Amino acid sequence: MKSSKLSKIISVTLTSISVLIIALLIYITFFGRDAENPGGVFSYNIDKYRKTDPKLIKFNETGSIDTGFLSVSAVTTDLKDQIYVAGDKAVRIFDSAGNLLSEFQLSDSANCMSVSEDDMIYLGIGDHVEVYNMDGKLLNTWKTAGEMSILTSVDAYGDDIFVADAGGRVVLRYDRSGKLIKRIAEPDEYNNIPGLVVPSPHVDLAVARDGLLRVVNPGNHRIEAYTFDGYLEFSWGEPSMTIEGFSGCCNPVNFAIMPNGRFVTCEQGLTRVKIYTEAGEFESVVAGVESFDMKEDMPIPDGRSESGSMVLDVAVDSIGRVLVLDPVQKSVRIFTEINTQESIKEEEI
Amino acid sequence: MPEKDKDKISRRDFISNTIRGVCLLGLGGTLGLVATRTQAGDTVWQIDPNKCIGCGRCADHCVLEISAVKCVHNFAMCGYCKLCTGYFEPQPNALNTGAENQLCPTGAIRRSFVEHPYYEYEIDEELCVGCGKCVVGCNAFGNGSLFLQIRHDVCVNCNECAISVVCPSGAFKRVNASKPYILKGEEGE
Repeated sequence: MKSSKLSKIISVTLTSISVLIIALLIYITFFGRDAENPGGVFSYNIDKYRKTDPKLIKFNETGSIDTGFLSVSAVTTDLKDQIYVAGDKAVRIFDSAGNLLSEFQLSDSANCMSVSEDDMIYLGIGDHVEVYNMDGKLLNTWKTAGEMSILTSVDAYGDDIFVADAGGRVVLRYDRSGKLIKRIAEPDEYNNIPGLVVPSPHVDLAVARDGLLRVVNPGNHRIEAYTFDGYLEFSWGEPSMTIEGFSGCCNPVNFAIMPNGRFVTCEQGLTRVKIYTEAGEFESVVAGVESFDMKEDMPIPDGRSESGSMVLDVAVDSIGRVLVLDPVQKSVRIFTEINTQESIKEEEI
Repeated sequence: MPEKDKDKISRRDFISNTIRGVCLLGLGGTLGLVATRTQAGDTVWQIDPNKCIGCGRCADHCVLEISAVKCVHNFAMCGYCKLCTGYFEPQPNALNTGAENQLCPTGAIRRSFVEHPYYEYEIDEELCVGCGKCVVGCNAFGNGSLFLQIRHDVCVNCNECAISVVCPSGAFKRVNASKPYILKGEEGE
């Protein structure tokens, strides 16, 4: 009797094990391996850096301007807070509310743009600068900056026009007629200037309110301050995937200076827009990676590489609104500081 | 046989014609198959680097024990970054060759100093398993000079490549055997 019971238990156990093994084999064959990534150490994962602490975000998106371009490349503002957008082979000018005021055609696509105090528009087009007036009339075409030149930033400041040449890894200081006055930021051991490290064609510059020229050294993850004579005064910034630093191989790609002297920086790879103090200390986030995220099932749009990376340009207006040029949406996205919003509301009350 | 029955096909003829037809069909099919195979012999599998998303499936779906897919490096495109996101962990402790700082799980990328602040990166194909981790890192921040290719000194050129079946981006395609590689930046040449 006992022997019969034992054999029954063994039989049931063996049958169960067999069924489990068969089920496992079926699972492995049909579901276990197919369409799975190796995962673990074989996967590149920066997801934790894609999440922004909500407490650090001090800006709200309060509007956007549809540029109507098929591709966009640069944004800037003038003293009247008019917004200039370069895209396709044209420039469109909007008022601060986003209404289209005028448009003019260019000889080619512009990488960068600046408007002087006397309403001249300086555009970096390929390897040279073109100067237009407000009516869109071409006034001057400067000679090429160099064989390898790729102009990525221009800033009109008084009688000087500063141009960043990412191809030549140099900043060029011109007068208003296009005469070259000084080459800045080239390697100079004697003056302790390391030179620009430019892995990708993004070097931005602007003159800050302290009168020093700020130049991005993207491969060194910092913003450097130069006198107009080319002396390196100081620099700030450090490489880091965390929110305080500049991520990846070469960031920031673009920046703007707010009326109160703070810096707004844009990064590629981890696409994020942040605020730094005048001294270069991280302060807050304008828009985190989430603001530029793409849904997984969304086809890869123009203006963005397959990796999901995109390059933003940025400008600010006189009331501190941050204007981010989004190459995927082809729009100028307007971010307003929460404190500013509150003060405006109080004034209205 | 009456005159009117002469036009009718006999059962024997019908069967004979049918068999002949089936044989011809079979012969045609065989010739077609041989032609297809011959054509396949003139082509090889390759990855279109502009479609590849570095999902990692190349590493563990190849029929070979170690995948025939390897990372290759286009030196002409490379930025020679000091902080190469294809070489370093996302948040390295230091920018040196310490194993804990390296992104590649098999240590297949060699970093060597060129001149300040530039570094050269080379792939040791013996160690590379084709996971594409470095490819994703390079594409995420850099200019994508690291990319995956099938190495034809290793690939056995299966009729149906096991990786191509699971490739989520349709990056696998047959290319002419006389030009077996698709190099980034040289597609149009």
